[in-house]
Amino acid sequence: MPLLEVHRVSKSFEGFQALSDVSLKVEAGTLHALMGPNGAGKTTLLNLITGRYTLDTGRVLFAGQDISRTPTHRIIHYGIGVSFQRAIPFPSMTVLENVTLAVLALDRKTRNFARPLLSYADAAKRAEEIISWVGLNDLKRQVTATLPQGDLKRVDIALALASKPRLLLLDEPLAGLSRAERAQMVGFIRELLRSLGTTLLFTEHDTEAVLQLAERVMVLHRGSVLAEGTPAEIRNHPGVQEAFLGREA
Amino acid sequence: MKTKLTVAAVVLAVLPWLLHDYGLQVAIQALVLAIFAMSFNLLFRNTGLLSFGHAACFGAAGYATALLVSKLRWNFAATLPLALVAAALVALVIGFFSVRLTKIYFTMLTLAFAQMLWAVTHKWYAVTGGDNGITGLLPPGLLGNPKGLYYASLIALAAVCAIIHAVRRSPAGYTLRAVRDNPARAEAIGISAFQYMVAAFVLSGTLSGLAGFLQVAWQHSAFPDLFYWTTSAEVIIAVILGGSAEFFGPVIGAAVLVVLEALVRSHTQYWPLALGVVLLAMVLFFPSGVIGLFKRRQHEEAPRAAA
Repeated sequence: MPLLEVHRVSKSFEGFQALSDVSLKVEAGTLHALMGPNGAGKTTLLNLITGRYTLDTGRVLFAGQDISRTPTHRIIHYGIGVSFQRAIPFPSMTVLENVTLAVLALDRKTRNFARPLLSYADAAKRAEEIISWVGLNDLKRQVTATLPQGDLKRVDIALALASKPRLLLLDEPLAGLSRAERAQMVGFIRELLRSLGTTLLFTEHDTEAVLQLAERVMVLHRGSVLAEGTPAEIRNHPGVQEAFLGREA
Repeated sequence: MKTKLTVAAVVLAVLPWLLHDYGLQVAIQALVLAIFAMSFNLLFRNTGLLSFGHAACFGAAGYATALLVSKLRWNFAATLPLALVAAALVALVIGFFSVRLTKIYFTMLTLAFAQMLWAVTHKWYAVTGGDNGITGLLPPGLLGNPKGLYYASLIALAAVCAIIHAVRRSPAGYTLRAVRDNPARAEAIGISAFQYMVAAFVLSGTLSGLAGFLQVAWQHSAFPDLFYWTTSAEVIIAVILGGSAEFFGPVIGAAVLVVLEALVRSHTQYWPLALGVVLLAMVLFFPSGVIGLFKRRQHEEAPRAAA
């Protein structure tokens, strides 16, 4: 059984068909990419999976369970972690406070109105482990509003990891990063998969980065599936070559 | 900070012995408004929600006390728990329907709820006395004595500050800030923004009810204007005046507002005009409030002193 199964989903916004009859299967332990230009429907598909948008038609199954109408804050508790395209963690808090809060949220311990946040030693310890893992140990006491975009992406991924995800969704992890930061982030994602064994579904419009990283690729074009397969199959797909790789079929 | 707080506590503790009767009345009024403003700012600062209907919670507690004392002959002080429950229930209903909305729509819906309650109390003569209000509510014992009421209000303010301070440091307080900063990100770590915003509204409304209870104890009566939009506006003005970003900003703003009003009214009937001028100056030149102004001055003077 696939870990994630998206079955014939469609979504429109005020007459604009953002996604049309899209199906996707993600097997556990794989690195799956959604590729396509801006406006292809990649982020819309992620938002449908996480419950941020409601489906017009179709179904989303996670580990065999129908999560089609489940709100985002519940979906996270099933084991789906999300990192956004525009990484804006909670800017008024330090990195440690951000991640500790995410750890407590997973454990449903955020309802306490009296005990100080950082007195939850177990949560703070786990948060420090995650922070160390994403390479931000030196910045853990820093307020996130002061961090550069590359570090913000790492904080955002740390928030996603705090939910102990079986499936990690990364929306354009390379967007807004400098060339050096992009290379670091690609290495970081590879390391993430190697160490944690988490299943990953990510969107990216940088074709070369996708073909370097992913094991399976789905190409979206104007809200529909143009191609699906291994990076080699995608590279040689005539429609993809014509549309994205700048070559004649 | 500890030294400043100790000095402030000592000054506030001896103040009733230094003030004449009118001065003591002004001080009590300032304390009651300070409790109301701190409670309001718990919601405003931590969630970013600007309620224009907090008078509903303030008035609900005030009228609960007034009705229990006048109709059921309850002891005044014994009405406090039910007054707080009334404020909490009103806050729950308003919060449940309002926090789904954002920005101006939230503000307008809270205003609408408070105005509906005002209309009911204003016209329901059989129960609320309509625009004649409920009078003759002199509390017995400590609350009936100006010095006693002053100290009760001071203790209540200290308790409200302690509660809000604890909430700010708690996971729930951080959660509210997370929802304010980035609701989508908060949902994506497993937080229901709606539930926390309602909880914040209820807590803020309940503490506002404490101010409403003390207001009725101070004025020995309850009138529909407890619910009126001007009551909600007054608490917003106090918070802006003191500085909503500063923990004690609402307390300072309430004190400045009440003392300024007493001073201006003793010389002229044009208090609303004076208030307008003060507000214009604050918003245009000192948007971070009185405390923000002092901090900025300190900040500017520090390099000069160092040089």
